[in-house]
Amino acid sequence: MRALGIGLPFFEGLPPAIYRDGTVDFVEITPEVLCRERRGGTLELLPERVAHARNICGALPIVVHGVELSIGSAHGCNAAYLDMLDRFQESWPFLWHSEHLGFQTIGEDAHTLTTGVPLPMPATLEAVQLVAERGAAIQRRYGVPFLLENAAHYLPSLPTDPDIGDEAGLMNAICESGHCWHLLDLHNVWCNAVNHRHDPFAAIDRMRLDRVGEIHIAGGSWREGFWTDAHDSRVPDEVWRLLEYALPRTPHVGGVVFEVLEEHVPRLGAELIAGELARARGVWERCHRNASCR
Amino acid sequence: MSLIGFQTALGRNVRARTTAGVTYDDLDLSQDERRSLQRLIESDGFRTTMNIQRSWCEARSANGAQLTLSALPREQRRRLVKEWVDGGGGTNSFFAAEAEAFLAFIGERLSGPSHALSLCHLEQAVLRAEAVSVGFAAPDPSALDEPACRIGTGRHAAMVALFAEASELLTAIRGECPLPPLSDNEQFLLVAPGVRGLARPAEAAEIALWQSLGAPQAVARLLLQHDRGSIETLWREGAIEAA
Repeated sequence: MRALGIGLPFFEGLPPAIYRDGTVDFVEITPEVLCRERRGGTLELLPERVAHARNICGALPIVVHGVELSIGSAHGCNAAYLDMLDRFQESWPFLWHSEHLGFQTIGEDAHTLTTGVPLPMPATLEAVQLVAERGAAIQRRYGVPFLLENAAHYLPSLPTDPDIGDEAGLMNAICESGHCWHLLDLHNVWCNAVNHRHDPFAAIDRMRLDRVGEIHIAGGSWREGFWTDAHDSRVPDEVWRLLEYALPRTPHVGGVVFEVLEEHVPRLGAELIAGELARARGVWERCHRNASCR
Repeated sequence: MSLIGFQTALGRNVRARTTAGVTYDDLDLSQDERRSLQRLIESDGFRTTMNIQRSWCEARSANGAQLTLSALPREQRRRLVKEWVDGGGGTNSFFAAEAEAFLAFIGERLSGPSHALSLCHLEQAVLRAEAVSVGFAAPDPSALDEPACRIGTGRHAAMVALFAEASELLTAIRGECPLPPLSDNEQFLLVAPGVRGLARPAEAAEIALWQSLGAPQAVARLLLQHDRGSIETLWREGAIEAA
């Protein structure tokens, strides 16, 4: 994994300067936002939007962070997304490709129904086999590393197999058998630790950190007694501490991305976002100055 | 527990947004697995998951019909979104697809004439035009000279009637003043893929031309009553096309 540095998702609503003045080293593109869904489910890339995004990002390297693949759906993942990504890669090559470990569609009477919200995978051998096979196929298809992001969720007592154990075990097993990489979302680790009452540092210790290719940091908010992965605020101090802890232990990490939901960008503003990116850069540079990091 | 059984059961409950009344009789689940699922869906975490799903669905729906909803009283707005989401709407994360479906739903429930229905038609028209606006190339008007050329209204175009000045409506929608009363004088906006910004006020001659195209007409016949300039303008903008 090429070490890029600090990244930010692409937001049309931000001043383009943030992508051009050295604040970020790479851009995370969600190609679905540059698409339109046609009847029948085909995803059509909109050339004007792609060109606009390319113009803003300039020569910065890009990575893809998809949201619509539903890689864990037992009835089948989203083939239209992959067809679209084929075309996207032809027009705008990316250094790696990531998706969320979870499912958001179910099959009912030969129809695909969208759940409307991503749902977590059970930590079972069947889930490992399904996702690992798909991950390996995707990695071959695009010829770049494929990463899976650990999910935040609010559900207790998901089904588990003893050989897999828990979410960390699930991700480790998938990365190992599918030769995939892990997109370590530290805010999601924090969410799950708060909501399911466990130690986030211990959870990180049980992960295959040599398979981490990218790290996400983000903010969230309280809702109904749960800390939610809302991406609506600055990064909590606890997540910064997790970054300080995890980054020196991830020898192959390519970058750290600050995630915000686009709808919250206007309220948070470019200055706050640039501040969080600068703080992330500080952690990144301290880590890379330290010989023990690499 | 089989992956497909777990996902189908969980997915059905999330979509139904209920912790009761969803059956798994067709799923291959043991009694222990059913009990385990029942505990999961009765948890506070599942309730929060459902509530997050609902708020996402409501936000997606409202985002696709911003103008229309803005012209409605708060209670009617809330009721329409609720009814749509209760029926399974709002789950599509692709803006245009979700917006088209929700606007069609709203359009069937609004009476006219009203500002809200006009704005609903405008939002629908903009979505249709936008779908083909990328890569739209103005057609060559020399095709109009073909003796057999017949033209009709464009498949991705519309003439939308507003019952107030567009600027007045927009000011009201921004919350800066109340909605204006319905005017007897309709203001027409032309929406077409080749129009800069997709919509513009229509000229009187263009409105007359559009209204005469309830059924496709031969160009030669149209030229008896309409000027060539209006026909060419609408042709280049994709507002009218060969039938």
